[in-house]
Amino acid sequence: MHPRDRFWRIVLPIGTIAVLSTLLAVGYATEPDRFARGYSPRQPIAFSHRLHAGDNHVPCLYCHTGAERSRHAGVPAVQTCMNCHAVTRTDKPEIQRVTAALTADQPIPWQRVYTLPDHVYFDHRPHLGAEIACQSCHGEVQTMEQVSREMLMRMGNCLSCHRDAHEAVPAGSKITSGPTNCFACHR
Amino acid sequence: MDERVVKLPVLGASGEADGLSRRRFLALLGASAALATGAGCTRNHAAIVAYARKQEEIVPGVADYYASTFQEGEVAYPVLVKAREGRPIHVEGNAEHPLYRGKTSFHATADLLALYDPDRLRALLIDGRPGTWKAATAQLARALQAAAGKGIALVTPAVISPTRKALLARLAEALPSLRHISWEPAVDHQERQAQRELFGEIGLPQYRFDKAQTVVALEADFLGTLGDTVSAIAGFSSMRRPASSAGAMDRLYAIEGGLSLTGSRADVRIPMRPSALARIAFGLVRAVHREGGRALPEGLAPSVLEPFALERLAEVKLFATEFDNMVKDLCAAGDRSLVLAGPTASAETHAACLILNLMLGAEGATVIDRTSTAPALSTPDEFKKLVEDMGAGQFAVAVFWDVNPAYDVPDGDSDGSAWRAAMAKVPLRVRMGQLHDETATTCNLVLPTNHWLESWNDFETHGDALTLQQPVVAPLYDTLQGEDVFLRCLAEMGRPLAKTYVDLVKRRWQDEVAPKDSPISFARFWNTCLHDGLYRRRPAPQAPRRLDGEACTRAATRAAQTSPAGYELVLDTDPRLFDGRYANNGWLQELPDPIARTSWGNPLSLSPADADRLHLKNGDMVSLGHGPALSILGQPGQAEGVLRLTLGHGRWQGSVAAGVGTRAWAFVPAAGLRVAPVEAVRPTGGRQDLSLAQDHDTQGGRDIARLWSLTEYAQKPPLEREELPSLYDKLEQKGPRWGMAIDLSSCVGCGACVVACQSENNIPVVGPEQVRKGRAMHWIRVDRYYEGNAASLRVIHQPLPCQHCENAPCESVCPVQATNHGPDGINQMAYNRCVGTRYCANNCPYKVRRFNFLDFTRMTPASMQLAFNPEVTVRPRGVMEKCTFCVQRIRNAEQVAKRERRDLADKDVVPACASACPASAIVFGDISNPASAVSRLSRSNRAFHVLEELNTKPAIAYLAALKNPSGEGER
Repeated sequence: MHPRDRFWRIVLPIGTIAVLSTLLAVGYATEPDRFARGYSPRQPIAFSHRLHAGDNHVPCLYCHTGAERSRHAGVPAVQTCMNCHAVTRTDKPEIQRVTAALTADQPIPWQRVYTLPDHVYFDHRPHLGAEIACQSCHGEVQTMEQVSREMLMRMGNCLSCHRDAHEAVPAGSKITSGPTNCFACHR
Repeated sequence: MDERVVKLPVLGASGEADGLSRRRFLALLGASAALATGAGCTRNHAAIVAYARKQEEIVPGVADYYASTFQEGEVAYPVLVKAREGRPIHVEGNAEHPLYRGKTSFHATADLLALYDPDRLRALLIDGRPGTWKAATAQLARALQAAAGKGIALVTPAVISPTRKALLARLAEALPSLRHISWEPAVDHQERQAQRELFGEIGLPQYRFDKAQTVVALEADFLGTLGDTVSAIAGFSSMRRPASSAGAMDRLYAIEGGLSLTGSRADVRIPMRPSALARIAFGLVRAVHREGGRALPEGLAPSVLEPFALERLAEVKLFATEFDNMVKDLCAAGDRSLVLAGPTASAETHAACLILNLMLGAEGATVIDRTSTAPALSTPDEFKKLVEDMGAGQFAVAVFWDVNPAYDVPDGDSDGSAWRAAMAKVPLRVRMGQLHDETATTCNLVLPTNHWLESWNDFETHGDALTLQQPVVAPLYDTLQGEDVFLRCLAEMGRPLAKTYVDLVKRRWQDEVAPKDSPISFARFWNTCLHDGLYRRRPAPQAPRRLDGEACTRAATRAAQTSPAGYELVLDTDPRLFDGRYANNGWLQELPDPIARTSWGNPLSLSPADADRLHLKNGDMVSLGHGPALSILGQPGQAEGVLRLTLGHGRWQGSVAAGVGTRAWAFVPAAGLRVAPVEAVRPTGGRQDLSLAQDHDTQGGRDIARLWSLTEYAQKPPLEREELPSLYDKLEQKGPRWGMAIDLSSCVGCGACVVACQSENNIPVVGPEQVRKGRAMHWIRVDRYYEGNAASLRVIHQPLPCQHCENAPCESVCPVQATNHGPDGINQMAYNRCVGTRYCANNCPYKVRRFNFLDFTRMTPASMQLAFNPEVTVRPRGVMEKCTFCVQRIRNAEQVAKRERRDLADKDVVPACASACPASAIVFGDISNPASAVSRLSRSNRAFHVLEELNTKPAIAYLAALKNPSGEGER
């Protein structure tokens, strides 16, 4: 085989594949846990969604008020906790810590569970408007003692539902799909 | 795991070289590179820090708007400040104001950057060392009291705030030796001098261009630099868009030395040396009297005007026909005419304009005089006296509050040494301002003050409304509002007036503004005014002013004696940097001059004929005998013998401002004068390349921007658009199809759209070197084209954003599908998919795509990143970007409409450029809805697409610019 032939037929393809697979392997290995299901950081206050949203049936939107009005569902202000805990369970040490934070006017540094890259502009409002249950993406939060990530935060995941939404929307909904164009989420 | 996701490595493994298409390869390369490098940016485990106590009106992710006011010289523009989570990110006009109706100066939009300027003073300096406010105010109060025997100088800009005026009056009461100099170096001092002479008092005229049929502008750039440009552009543009070729349209005559923005929009433009203007203006007075039969003002005898007979005016002979038409038009329009002059015209020219407006009945009709609201400004003589007295050691304390005389004092014939000597004789020099600027470096007490977005105030201009200024953000650094410094001093002196300035503003509004015996409580009144940003009230009726006939005679006699010098150097304010106060603002430095299209600098412009005679090319350096050397620019349309240089450049302090351009104040012969005689222009042999944003001056015989006279327009057939055959698939449309109509007849080319877009879409500033390489990042640019020859130059301005073509040439060449079409007709750009081949920019016939050659965003200082709009992705290096039609505003409007359970209305989505355009030339909306405003405009028989023959089917329709040249009869 002519050396030049060998280059074109063997060295270049194998080299390319080697470079590519190295890139991919490094990329995959260093990819943060946004791919991973089950990421469950310890929160500064041992707040139980199972107790509040599950046993006590507090609606999600009672605390995450932004979901209807803003792109972000948001985390409640410390003051919101006091709506009940000004009188309820004030003897518990965790509640006392929350009260102390409010008295000191200090916010609580809740750990982020779900995160998206900066170029993704997810909007809670249309998803609520389509009557998609929070659990469709966030999992059965009302059964979780400490919230863990249930959805793979990848574009494919968004798109599968945007192409065929029948699993997420309530039965009989007129909505069958979501937008799949770039500017729907990126801008 | 999702199947589509795991496909990538599989492809890589089976991808043999011959099976791997180039396109696939690039896609794969891009994807893997993104995987490898994108890892860092998403590992975002920062805590979510929610409020401890949330304000009810704040919803994280939803913008709040606060009404405030922006002051510039004698004018106060009401604005609406957009804030996200308490952080101001954009400034637009306040729609509640009866005069401005939601429009504002682009200086207000751009001055947001000054809030986040990394150069801002963060702590006060006593003799160059950091100190505390308590010590500083105590020291200042002691010094002020000790100086009671000697003099105290207080230099401020125009005081148009009634409360600030009251505070300063109280201060003057406490300190009898205080001399207050209210100094605006760039206002039209010649006009004020003429008013003082002719009327004995000074009014701040408000011009009603929306009512003027014939406008004559003598060196008056009312669209670019003269006073309140916003209402001038709005009013003027409203007369420039006739419904049909038979519709009403005004006619603008401009006589000027350099080519100004106003001159570029004129129907008849006559290049003329400024020294000839006074004679021409009095020639007009005479002609209007003799031919129009209008009575001369009492005391002005016709014989005085004899030197201005047409046959004796050599200058007028060159344009006798136009002059005749001008006189006829003025007399026919009567009280619907308007004659005005600018700061580069002499006081005699202004006097003639005042006389003309009175004779024609325009005074009170198109010129509304606002004597009561005119700020009391110091005259150039008073300022000169101040400098002299400072030099004579008459002052113990000098306070410079928001003024920068060390930079903008004219050098005159002393090379600036007079000012330095005068400063050296003042023991305590106090600077109150935001930057460590030229004046601050020569002061021993430097007190950092609040930005206007951190301040309280109230303003009174143009009598119909009092406006309020409220802080949108708490002071970012250890700063105080200037007024609060004086309140603390007064308290130290044992004459407390109020605890804080806001208390004083409120108290004054309670006592003097709030309607008496109203059932509404003051708290409610105050909150309503604060919400609206203003309090409407009927202006007090103005008594007609009495003209002093003898003064007219004196002015006419002086006008007859003016004679031209060798060269005349016209020193105009810069349309972007004003008098230099915005020189540290990167957005304004990078905004190209609307006519010369230069950014980052101020070349000396001269007429191409003069440049040829001196064998000079653009960028060659010349010397004017004294002062710094200047690079030149041959400016078509400029009168021969006229040199033009803009003020505002050449600062030597400030990380952006320092060293950019030439300090034109060095050529100003004396305070208040704006024309300097120049004996000779000598080439120095050096060169300095200009940062030109556009290097083609003509359309090259193509039909890119159309400009018709009304007669040509009348001959145009009604619009017929034929469907050309196309290889592209038809667009699958869902919902609205977004489009835009830009009326070139309304557009004056000011550049407000460029600044608004830059603020809205996180567009980086790239600097002069990158601009020279053609790497400016503006998503919308305003192209300027010249037509015709030197004698009959026609200028057209064309704002050009991405055209969002239906058959977009950029889309078909992208190897990775990073740019493609959305169902709503928007040409989408997915940054995270872009691999930076730049094929799209190469294939774009409109050249609107911008490439991040460097990591411009990371070069943005950290404090300035706070001005970023969180709704728009910040683009990294190696990525293509372009206009998105402000898709973030569209998406938000869609969700708001959905939540309110209604369809999108026509005016729901307004992109930043359309919202900022003072001429309302840009209209945005759904072009598939025949009832929308944009559809109606696109069907006009003035409508055309740029490069229509390419069949790209742009979503942007342009409406041909119209000119109404004289000799085409009465309209």
